[in-house]
Amino acid sequence: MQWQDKGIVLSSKKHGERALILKFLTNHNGVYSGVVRYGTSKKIRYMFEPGNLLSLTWRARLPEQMGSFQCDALELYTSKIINKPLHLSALCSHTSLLDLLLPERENCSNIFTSSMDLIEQLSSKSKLWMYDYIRWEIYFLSELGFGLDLKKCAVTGKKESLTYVSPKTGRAVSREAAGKWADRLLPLPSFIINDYYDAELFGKNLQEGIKLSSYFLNKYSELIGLKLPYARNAFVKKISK
Amino acid sequence: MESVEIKTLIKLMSKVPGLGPRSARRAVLTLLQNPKKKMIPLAEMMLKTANSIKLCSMCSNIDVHDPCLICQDDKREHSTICVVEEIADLWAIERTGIYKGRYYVLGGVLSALDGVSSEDLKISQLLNHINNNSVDEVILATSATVAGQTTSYYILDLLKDKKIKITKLAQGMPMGGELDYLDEGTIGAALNLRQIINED
Repeated sequence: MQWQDKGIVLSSKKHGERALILKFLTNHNGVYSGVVRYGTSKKIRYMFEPGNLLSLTWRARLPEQMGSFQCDALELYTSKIINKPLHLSALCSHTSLLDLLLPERENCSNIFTSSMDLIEQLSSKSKLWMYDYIRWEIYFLSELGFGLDLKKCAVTGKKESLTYVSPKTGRAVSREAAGKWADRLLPLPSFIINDYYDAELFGKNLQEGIKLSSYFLNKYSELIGLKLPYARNAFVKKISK
Repeated sequence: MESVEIKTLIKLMSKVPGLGPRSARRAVLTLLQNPKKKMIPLAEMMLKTANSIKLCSMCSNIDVHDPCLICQDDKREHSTICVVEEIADLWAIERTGIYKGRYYVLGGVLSALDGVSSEDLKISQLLNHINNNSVDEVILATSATVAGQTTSYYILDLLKDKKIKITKLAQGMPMGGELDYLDEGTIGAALNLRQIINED
């Protein structure tokens, strides 16, 4: 049994003295774990940092076995991010969410593609990567089957001036329809539904965006009996400052 | 056929990092062939060290003295602290013979996967140590990995309001390193941190 694919490193764990157990998000095979023999060797250890893109060959005698990986570096994104504290924190949050919430061995090519786009953004000099990060979390929720319906107002059906989200249903609510319930609803920053960026409202939009994604990520993870990872909480704390 | 005692000895020896059952068997055989010269002194020294080993209350280093010999040494700079992940890292820096300050051993790195949070490391003790001693410089000597740098940035956040110089180890080409075999990250860091060549 053998396949070849490319994958993003999600986590690594020492196995014995010389081997590592690596977990990847692959393009066509979903999240996959496997042993990398001599993975602790100085010659190849640098590849196995979370966020790096590797070319993988997975081998096992039977498909249900854990199997082993042979890896080669395709793009070492981590080295471009490691000296930027906030970017690194976002990368850790991103990989730890994938590691925690995605089921193993289920194809999720869309999540792989969106994750690659986000990691590209993190390693580039773009100043808008924080918006992309929050949009990725909202997208990730929808891929997990917990999507928010942000296309039209849940009350009036209108597509204009959508400014809130119902915490109960995850559906958008327009300013007029919100009325006196506005303080019970979650604010919906405009950058989540369109590509419009308001430089003056950068901080406010960011806080509202992270509050929105945090609320629904927490709700989802509680439903499946998990807690959001430490790395994600640390990132939220960092950008809230 | 080995006796139960020898089998147990081999089993215990194979638990040491770097030794598997085969190499443990070879090591035990060497010791058994010369018990007076090799085995008894080793056993006596192991017992003596095991009975007197202590964790330094100042830097969390392992030594038979508390404070450890590094913390006791008055010739070392008291105002500089090098923060390392593990005792092995402290020993590695000591082997260079270049650093003349003091150390602080964190006891690991922040890791979401292994569930290691800031409470599991000796970060609050480090802050107390810095507050109680007149420290001018803190060198964050964590490894150049995602976990190592995350830990480093976490400590940096806690220390940035204090009037202390905070530095980290340089990244670049290792001694004997050939460019062709280095990863892009290391080459990039080496290029970014290139130096002017002085004749002296």
